[in-house]
Amino acid sequence: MKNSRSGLFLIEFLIALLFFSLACAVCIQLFVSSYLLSCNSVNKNHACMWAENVAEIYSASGGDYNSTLTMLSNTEKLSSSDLKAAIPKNLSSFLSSDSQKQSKDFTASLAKNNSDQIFYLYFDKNWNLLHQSKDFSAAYFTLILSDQNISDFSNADLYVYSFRNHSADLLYSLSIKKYHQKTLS
Amino acid sequence: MNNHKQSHHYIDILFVITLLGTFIISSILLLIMGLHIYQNSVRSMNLNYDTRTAFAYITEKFQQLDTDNSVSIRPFGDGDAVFFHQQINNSDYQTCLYLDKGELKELLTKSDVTLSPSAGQNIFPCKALQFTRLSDDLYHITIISGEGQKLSVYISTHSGGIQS
Repeated sequence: MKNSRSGLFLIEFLIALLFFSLACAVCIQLFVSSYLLSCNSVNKNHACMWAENVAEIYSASGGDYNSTLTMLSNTEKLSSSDLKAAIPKNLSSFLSSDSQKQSKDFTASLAKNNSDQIFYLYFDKNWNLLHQSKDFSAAYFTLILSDQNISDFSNADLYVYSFRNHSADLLYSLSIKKYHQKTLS
Repeated sequence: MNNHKQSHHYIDILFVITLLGTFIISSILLLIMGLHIYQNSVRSMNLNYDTRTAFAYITEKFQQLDTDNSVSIRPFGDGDAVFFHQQINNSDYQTCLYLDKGELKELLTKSDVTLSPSAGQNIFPCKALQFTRLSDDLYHITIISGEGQKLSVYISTHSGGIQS
């Protein structure tokens, strides 16, 4: 009688433990997704701010690609050649993960015409701007500006990508149009 | 026979106690994990809030008060401050954004009245604030928030500004 009672208690305890394990698994899953969401929100916030910053510089430069490049290189102490340094090979391999990035040349896929001009800004995991081209292969984020020359207005597309877990995710994109002022004669 | 029964009884109790221990340890671990995740989420939410507030506030002020020759930079409070000049009922007024005693402050006064920096209204805690004029219509603002987060803001004006 005593044996059967302790056996029943043990079974009840095991069922409770099983239920607890299931609840634990669900909770851990929720914790992980909440952590990832919070990281993503911080990254999107920074991506949005940097895209707005570059858009403001582009706008103040009258939509001129070269002036934007000069302004950025002067204020952020970057060389023009570093700004034009294409995505390092170890990072560009991440870009082949989804259909949009299956193009052989990612840079060419961003540019709508052959004459389009492109520059890149690279950031570490804390969103500090990387200044040396030798550090770019360790970049976590990149901002790309692709400028199209159209006679009546300047048009540029901004993309911010994150390189994490061997894949590249588009964090933020922004399209800028700056109409050129014309004087009637 | 009696000895065998007694050892069986001990193992039963030991097993139940081990299960109970596992249950308690797992619960505590789960709680600690939840606590860390919650702390991280709250910290990143606060950081997001601080940076977004600072960014939005300053950008909004520039956009709101951006009129012809209205923006200038000169020393006030703990460093350089930005002044926006405006006319209200034919009188000249100025709105000033500046750093004073670890706070970003805003002060609206008549242009000919000089008040002390402590008269301004606190906006948010800020360790450092620097305004730089890059061109006629581009400003660079560097902010280090109360949490130590560095923020770089570029703002283009549409109306130009007064030479500082």
